[in-house]
Amino acid sequence: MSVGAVIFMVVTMGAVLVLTVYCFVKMFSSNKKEEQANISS
Amino acid sequence: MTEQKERWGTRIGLILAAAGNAIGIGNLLRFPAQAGQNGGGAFMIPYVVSLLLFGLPLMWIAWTIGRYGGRLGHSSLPGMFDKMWNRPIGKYLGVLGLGLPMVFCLYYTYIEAWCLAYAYFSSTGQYISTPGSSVDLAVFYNEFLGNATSHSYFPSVYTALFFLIITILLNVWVLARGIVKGIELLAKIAIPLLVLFCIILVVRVLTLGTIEGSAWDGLAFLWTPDFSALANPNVWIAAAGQIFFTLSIGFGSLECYASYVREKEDIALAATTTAATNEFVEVIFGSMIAIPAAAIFFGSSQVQSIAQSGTFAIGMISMPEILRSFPGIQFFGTIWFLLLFFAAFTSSVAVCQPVMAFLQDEAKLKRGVAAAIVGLIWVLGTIPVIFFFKYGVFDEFDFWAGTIGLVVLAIVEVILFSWIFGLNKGWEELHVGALMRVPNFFKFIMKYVTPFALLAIFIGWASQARLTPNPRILWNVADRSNYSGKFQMDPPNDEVHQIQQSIYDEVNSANRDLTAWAEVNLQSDGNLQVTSYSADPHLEKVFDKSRFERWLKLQNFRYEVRENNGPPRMQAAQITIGLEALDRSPYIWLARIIIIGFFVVFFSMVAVIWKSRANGIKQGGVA
Repeated sequence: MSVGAVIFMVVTMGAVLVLTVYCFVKMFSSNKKEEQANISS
Repeated sequence: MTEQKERWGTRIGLILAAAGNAIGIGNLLRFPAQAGQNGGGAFMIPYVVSLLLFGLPLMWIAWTIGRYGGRLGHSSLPGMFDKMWNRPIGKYLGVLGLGLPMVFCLYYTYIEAWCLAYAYFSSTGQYISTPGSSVDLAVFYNEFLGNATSHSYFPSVYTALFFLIITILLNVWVLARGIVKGIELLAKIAIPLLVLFCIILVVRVLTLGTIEGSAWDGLAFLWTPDFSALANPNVWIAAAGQIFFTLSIGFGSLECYASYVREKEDIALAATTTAATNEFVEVIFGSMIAIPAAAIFFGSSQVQSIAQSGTFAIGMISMPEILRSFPGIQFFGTIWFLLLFFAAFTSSVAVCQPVMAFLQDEAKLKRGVAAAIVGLIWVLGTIPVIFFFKYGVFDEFDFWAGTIGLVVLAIVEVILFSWIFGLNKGWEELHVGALMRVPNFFKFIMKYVTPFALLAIFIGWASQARLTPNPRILWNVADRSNYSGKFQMDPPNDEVHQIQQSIYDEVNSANRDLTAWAEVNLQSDGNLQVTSYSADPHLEKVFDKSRFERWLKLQNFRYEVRENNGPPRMQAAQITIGLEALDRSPYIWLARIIIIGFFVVFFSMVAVIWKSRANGIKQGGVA
């Protein structure tokens, strides 16, 4: 497997992984904010 | 006044259910096959472009339409489109979101049933070869589907029918339990299991070492870019098609799921998370199981032909071949097929939910009654798929509902959202309750780029439509007296195509199926010699005994056996080859009538329901 192919694979898979983790983190953090807002109201 | 609607129980339940809708067999089988056939790593460039140009925009549009409709008491497209476009035609366009998913379910559940059946066959070791008895997986698979002239492993398609009925009952049971106790609970169990199974299989494949090749050979095949492929428009259409299939856009199921969210749910983020989760399973797990495993067991030289053999051949023939080649077939084989089954199960439930929702919200049926009606239609509608599979009923449903239809619905939806409902109004609706802002340039993409990109795909796919189908030619090893092994056929040459055309003409002139049977000596040099021959008189106009022998030679038949993982070798043997030329027209038209029938029924239901509502309003009642 060439270096170019390895880089291509790692970058693509890495980007997908980062996007997925970012979305889930953001979703759970907004979940917490909503819960706090519900408690304070 | 709108009734109190069902709602998702938790946000994670919503995301898992929506991801389960998107994650299907296509992620694990179709993606690697498409990538391998279309330029390897270079395929990812049009794939990502397609994701940005219409994958994500259509996801956001679908979620927005869904939540908007749900707020107004509608979970299926006729009601949603009616609220978005206050013209009579709006609700009738929404019928696309009922007919297409119903037809899709008829054949997709059959694939789901294959996966369940193969999980059972794996657990019982049914397709493992034993000393003196080699199971030919291609014949095994085709006989299971009734797609073969022989009956060596299955006497009929009733085994497939049995697993199909179990699969449909499971689907109907989940639908009857409702959103929280049915679909959400299924997603909370199935998606984590699916990810766990993927991890087990990826670890297993990456630790198998080197046999005929290594896992790296498979990854190199998938990820080495062939940039010359980018100049080929078919590669772009293939990538766009993959985005469509993988995100489950154009069935009305995303809209239906989104209709059950709370009014202030962050749908921009929910849609993006769903797409990201789907891409995670597709790009990472989809590229690290089937093709690397194929490279290990068949070598890098065979990977391309395996990728080109198609989605189902990879899943049902190549993967079982690989799985039975290393210890633990009962465990790993069962895991592989259960993985595919769960992926399909969460998708089929999602695709059928719009029809359930229509019967509940608009026809005012109770959930149990709606589920029973859907289940009955499902079973009855699937019967032609099973019994006329070899005539192409399955493919016909797939072409109109799973290919052309979903692009048509997506085009309708994007035009309705961007041009009729109003992009600014839609954009505001998308961002109600949103912490995540979609970049503004997507407004331009939604209004101008997405509709034209969809139109290009539609033209590309519609050009493949044929009003009158070609006959289908099936050949099969019908009997083998002293040899067990595997038949292979190299790509046929031009002369074979000419002979096939002659057979097509004869079938068309006879208006019925034509058959030929030949006893053949497989000689030690690999040549096939016809010793006796019988054929339908019509087919004899094309084939006499000597011409049949020539046809066999032109087909480049190869008969190979693997013993103790040694190299393939030939043996002399007496075998019988059956050939069927099938007149498909009546069955293809039957499939088309079924599709049209569904649309007529749903159109009529929409017309009656809306008319009775209008009458109710006139008489001062509540609509």
